[in-house]
Order: sequence, then structure tokens, then C-alpha cells
Amino acid sequence: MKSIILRAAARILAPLMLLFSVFLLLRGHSLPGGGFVGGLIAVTAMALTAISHGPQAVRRAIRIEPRLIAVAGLALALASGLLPGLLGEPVLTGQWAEPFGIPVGSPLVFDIGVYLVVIGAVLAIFLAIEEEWRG
Amino acid sequence: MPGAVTLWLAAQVPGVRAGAVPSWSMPWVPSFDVALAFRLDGLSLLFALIVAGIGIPIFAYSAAYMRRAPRSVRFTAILLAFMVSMLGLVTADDLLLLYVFWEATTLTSFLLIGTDHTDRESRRAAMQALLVTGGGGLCLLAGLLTLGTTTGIWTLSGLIAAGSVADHPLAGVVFGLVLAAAFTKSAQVPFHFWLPQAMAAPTPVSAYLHSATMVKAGLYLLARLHPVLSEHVAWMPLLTGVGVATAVWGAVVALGQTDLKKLLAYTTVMGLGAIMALLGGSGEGAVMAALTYLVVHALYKSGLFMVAGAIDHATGTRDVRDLGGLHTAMPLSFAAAALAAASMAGLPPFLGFVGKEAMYEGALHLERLPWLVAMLLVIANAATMVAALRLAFDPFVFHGGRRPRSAHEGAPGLWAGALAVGILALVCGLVPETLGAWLIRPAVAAVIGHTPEPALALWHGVTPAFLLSLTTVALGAAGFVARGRVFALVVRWTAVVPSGDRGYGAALQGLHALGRAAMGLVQNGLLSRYVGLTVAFVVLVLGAALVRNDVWPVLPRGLPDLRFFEWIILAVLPLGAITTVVSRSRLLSIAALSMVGTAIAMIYLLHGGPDVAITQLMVETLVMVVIAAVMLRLPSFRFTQHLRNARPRALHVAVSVGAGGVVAAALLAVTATPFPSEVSRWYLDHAYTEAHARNVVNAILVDFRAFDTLGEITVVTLAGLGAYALIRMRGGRKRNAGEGEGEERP
Repeated sequence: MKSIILRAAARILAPLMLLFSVFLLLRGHSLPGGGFVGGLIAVTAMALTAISHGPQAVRRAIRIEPRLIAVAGLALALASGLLPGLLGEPVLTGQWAEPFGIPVGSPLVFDIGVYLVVIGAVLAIFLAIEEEWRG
Repeated sequence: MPGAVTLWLAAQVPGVRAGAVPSWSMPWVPSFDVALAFRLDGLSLLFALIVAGIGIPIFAYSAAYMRRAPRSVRFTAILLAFMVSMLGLVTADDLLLLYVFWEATTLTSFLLIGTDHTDRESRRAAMQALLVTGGGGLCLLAGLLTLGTTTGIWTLSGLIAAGSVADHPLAGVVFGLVLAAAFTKSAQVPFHFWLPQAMAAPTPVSAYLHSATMVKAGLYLLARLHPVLSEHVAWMPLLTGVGVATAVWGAVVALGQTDLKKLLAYTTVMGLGAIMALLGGSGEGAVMAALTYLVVHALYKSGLFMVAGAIDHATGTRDVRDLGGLHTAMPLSFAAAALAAASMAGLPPFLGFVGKEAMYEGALHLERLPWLVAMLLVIANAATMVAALRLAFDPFVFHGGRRPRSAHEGAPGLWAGALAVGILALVCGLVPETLGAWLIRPAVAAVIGHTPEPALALWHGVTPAFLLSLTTVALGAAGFVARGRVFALVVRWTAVVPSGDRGYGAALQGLHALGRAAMGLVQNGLLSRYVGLTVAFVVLVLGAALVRNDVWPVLPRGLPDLRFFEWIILAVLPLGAITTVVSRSRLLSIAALSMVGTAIAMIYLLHGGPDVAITQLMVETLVMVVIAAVMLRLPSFRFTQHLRNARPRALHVAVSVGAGGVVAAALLAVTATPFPSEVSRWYLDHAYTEAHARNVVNAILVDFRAFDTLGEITVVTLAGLGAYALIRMRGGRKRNAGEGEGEERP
């Protein structure tokens, strides 16, 4: 879509939305947010860019094939789940460490995996559709 | 390897003869009482020796035969796997273990027949063998399970010790099922047609599986279950009747064949029929004859198959009409063929003669209709003799003018095995009692419970059996001399008579047609059909569940106390839904649908679920964008006018209303019952302490119930990959036509 309003708006909104999505991802454990919503907002930002600037622009910016992102996310989630298995505890038990007094745990890694999966899967579909219909 | 096994088995012979029964057992699936139990008694030893002993020449033969063939390593590996399966089959003591090995032989046979999978005939033959013997295998499973559950005994040794179950009410069912399995595996009429078709397999396979070992598995089964089932009233009539019919049929049709291997296949059918007929009897004479003939047949048939393969290898043809005068070019093969054929024809002093005598002796002592059976067997044997002489003389001695140019004796592996087997047939014929005492008698003892009296000998005196043998030889010689006319007669007859193979083909076609019709109904390519069917099914199932459990929606009393903006949001929902359906403009429909979704998100927000609300909102936005991206580019409604006529529309409306109604009813019913709050309380209490989280929803998603989430993201990934593939697949041609048009500078 070659609307100049949309393009100008996207140029401002997309980065903001991406930042916001990361913000939501990180704060998920204590306040409303989490991996799913973060991923959805990130995808919306990229969809907006794809509509206004074309799918090729998005692909160039991301550089990695979206399907690969999705599978990487899945692998990450699985790894974070299997890690406690290696340490002798039941699989998917949350592992927590406290560097500098801030608790950091494996659920966050799991959530990042979820985030990547959502981005990868939806983006793969969306970019494919956009590229199909633009001929 | 077969050599090693044979030696080990041979070492067991004296012990088994004396009455010892080596066995070995190990629990396998304790919860179902299935054990890896093996048992080597007389019967098992006999069969195992046949399998392993004939395996030695076969493997040598196969190495020479398949030397330049592709994938010969795989072939040998599967052949070895077959041998192991067959050995397991004959030594298994546990019922289910027997079944596992039975099916393993079916599977390896399928793979071996289809070795040349580029050849259509091989594929068809392999599939046919699989379907017929596999169907029998399923019957076997059912029969064995019935037997096990009704008697409570799961080992063969236990069953034999417990004695006959013929009086049990379900005995008939077990008997029928086991019989079906045995008949299909051992190529009895009317299930015999897969065996001649299986000749599409490479010759080592035919020589090993389809003459000496696998097809005897059915006979083994019946021999093994003889003490358990033979007192059933239908045992003798069915076994002997079908056996004799098979024998006569096989022998006669064999006379009309020109392909060497098909000729051998039909005579194998005859042999199997004869053994089956003898197993119908319960006297020691009959059983002894059956087992003796088993060995006889294995020896001569494998030898003849090997020679047939050698001829094929050397001259490139198996058609008896194109062969002749090979005895100068292939003298060793000729010697092997002559030996085996003499045994097959039942001429003294070969083992075949001993076997035939024993067969007539056994037949004459059958409990019912002994003379009829004996007469029919004479006919079958005479025809076999004609076939045997034909095999030995036509390609080798007569028709010298037809000799192909390039014929020559092949590698030692090709003729050594056949020669060895033929010599063995001669030797055993000269001293039959050795075979009898060491192998046959213990085997018979395993079947009927006591060691039999009569001895195997070359000469019993001028008994009725001997007279029958003379008759057979006379008939056979006459038939051979007149073989041209006999051949023409048989060919004319088989053209008229219905063929099992054609019946199979028709049945298979019918099945395919049925499948196509069913698929056409359900998967006709229209998305609306798929969605409609899925939704309709859900409606039916959910509705049925509600009705069956007497669950009715409970409408709340009076109107809820809502603030005015809540009423507005509530009003938006039906407004949006109606607009979506009735609007003529796609854009409006999409916007209205989005309105509904947003309103729902608002409701979540107002009821204290921020996480769910923002997720709903974002999903709504994204889905609408994707829908817009696709639907706005579809042809306008003008082209879909045909969907506007009444009947499909009414159906769509009905399904949609049904879906909405059923789901609403279910929800109302569910929310009417008090919700167990202990679960949410536990989560609220433990979220901070165990998961360091203040956001309970998130803690549940990624920590407490992370496994569910893992499943969900797997599904999302798969859906993404699948949808991507579908989209890409569809537009392949379009993309190749014009690339790089959608680029814009950011």
C-alpha cells in the first residue's frame, strides 16, 4: 500500500511497538504482560511495516528467516525445560539464580522462547501472504 | 550363519530324541503375561533343521545369483531376517510370540517378493501376498487371543499339556480363525492364488520361502495345535477335504504351465495340500506321513527351484517351450535336476518314494473315506510325476534343436546347493530309518503324545500302499508320454474355470472405488465444506453430551446490574455480528468482526483480566490484518453469487446457529455450577513463594503449567510452518513468472 501517511506513521510506530513488546516480555512475571502478548505486539509492528514498506523491507531488516526464528524459539523453550533434567530435578522445574540480588530464572528463558515462536510463526504466514499477493 | 545354527540344532537331536526338551524363557511384557519363551521339542527341531539346513545352500545360492544385482546386501539382510523370524516361529512357546514371528515372516516375505520394486508385477505380487497372508495373520491373532483368554493358558506347552479344548463353546471360533490363518499362509484353495504370483520374486526367495519354509508355517501351526483342536468335529473333514482339493487342483493346473517357476509353484500347492490332508487324520500313520512328506518336499522343491533359477540365469528364459538340450551345456544342473525330479516323482530308492508310500499308508488309515482320499492322492501324485519328468527332461534332454547359444554352467553356488540337496534325498531314501528314528519320530511324538510304531523303510512288502504307488508311476509315465495333449487339455480348462487371482483383483478394485466415493463426499476441495463438516460434528458431539448428561442452561434471574458503558459494550456484540453477516461490502464485514472482538476484549478488561484482554486485543488486530490481506484481494462478491441460493444457505445458517446455541448452552450450564476455588487459591498463595511472580496468570503459563504451554507453542510452530508451505505451494508458478515487484524503499 503506497500511502504516505501510513509510511510515515509506521516509521515512528514500529520501533516504539518493538520496544514496548520487549518491555512487556520482561515485565510479564510481575505485571500484565508475558511472552505471548509481547510476541503479538512485535508481530503487529512488523506487519505494519510490511504493509507500508513491503515485505522485502521487513525481511531485510530481520535478516533471519521467520521459520527459523520460530523453531529457534521452540528449541530454546525445550532447552530451558530440559536443563533441570540434566541437573537431576524433574523436567521443567524453574531454576533460579540471584546475581546482584535480582532473581533471574529459567521461566524467563522459556518465555523468550514463546516470544520467538509467536513472532516466527505469525510472521512466516504474514510475509508469505504479502509476497504472494504482490506478485 | 545358517551353518552355525544347523550345527547347533544337529547337536540337539540326540537329546530331543531321548525326550529332553531344551527351553528358554524370559519375561517380556509382564503386565500382559507375555514372555519370550522358546521351546525345542521334536516338532520344533524338525522344522528348525529344515529352515536352517536348507538355509545353507540357499544363502550360498543367493550370493552367486544376486552377485551383480543392485541392493544385494539389503536383500541378504532381509533374507537373514526372514530366517530368524521363521526359526522364532517354530520354536516359540508363548502364543503372542508365535504371532509376532508369524507376522514377521509375512513382512519379510513382502519385502523379499518386492525386491525389484521398479517392476509392476513384483509390486502387485508382493502386495497380494501381504494382503492375503496378513489377513490370515489377523485371524491368527484373534484366534490365539480367544484361545488364551478362554483357557487362561498363554504358552503352547501349557495348552498341549492341558489337552483338547474341543468341547469348549468357543472352540469352533478358535478353530475357524486358526484354520483361516493356516490356509492363507500355506496356500490352500481358495487362498492359493498368491503363491504362483509370488514367483515374481528372485529365485532364492522362491526356493527358500515359497517352497521349503514359510508356506509350511501354516502346517506347523496346525501340527502344533493338533492335540488341542483335533478332536473338534470339523477338524478332519475340513483339513482333509480342503487339503485334497488343493492337492488335486494344484497338480492339475501345474500341467498347464510353461513357466518353470510357476510350474514349481503349483506343484508346491499340491504338496502343501497333501500334507494338509494327512494332518487331518489323528492316527500315527497319518501324522508320520505328513511330517515325512514335509521333509521330502522341502528337499526336492528347493533343489528344483535352484536349478530353475540357474537355467534362468544362464539362458535368460524360464519358458519351457524355449529350452532344450541343456544337458551338455549344464551337466551339473542336469544331475541336480534329475535327482530332485526323481524324488518328486516318487521313484525308488529316493526319499520321495518313501514319502509317497508313507502318504498312501497314512491315507488308507484315515478314519473316514480312506479310499477316496487315497484315489485322489494318486491322481495328484501322478500329475506331479508328470510335472517332475517334464522339469527334468524337457529343458535338458529333449528338444536339442532349441538350445540357446549362450547357455553355460554358472558359478558353483548355483548348482552345488541343488546337487547337495538332491544327493541328500537319495541318501535319506536309501536309509530312511535313520531320518525316521532321529527326526521324524520325536516330531510325531510331540504331536500325538507317544512315539509311533511304524518305521520308515524302503520296502514294506506288497501292501495296498505299494500297489497304489505302482498305479501312480504307471499313470505318471503315461501322462508324460502324452504330455502334449494333457497340456492342451489343461490350458483349455483353466481358461474357463474361475481364477482366485481374478477374484482378488476385482475385490481390490471395488475397495478402491469405495474409498474414492467416500473421499469425494467429504473432501471436495471447498473450504466451506471442511469448516462446515468440522463445526457440524462439534455441534453434534457437544449437543449429544449435554443432552445425555441432562445438562440444561440456567438463565440468570433478572437483568444484571451494569453501568451504562457496560451496556453499550454489550450492545456492540450482536450489532457487530449481524453487520458481519448481512453486509454486502467485505471491508465492512471485516471491520464489524473486528468490532466484536474488541468488545469482548473490553469485557475482559472490565472484569479484571488485563492479560487476557490485551492478548485478545492483539490477536484480534492481527487476525483482522491477515484476513484483510487475503480477503480483500479475492474476487468480488459478484462472482460468488451462486452461493446465495437458498439451500446451501439454509444449511450454513443452521450449522452456525446450532454452533452458537450449543456453545452458549454449555457455557451457561457450566457457569451455573459453583467453581471450585481451591485451585485458584493455591495458585494465588504459591505464585510468589515458588515462582517469584506477582502475575499469577503468567506464572501459571510459563511455570506451573509450562508443559501445556510447550505443547501450545509446538502447535503454533507447526501451524505456521504448514500454512507457510501451503501458501508457497499454491503460488509457485506465479512466483516464477515475475519476481521482485514488491520492493519499496523504506
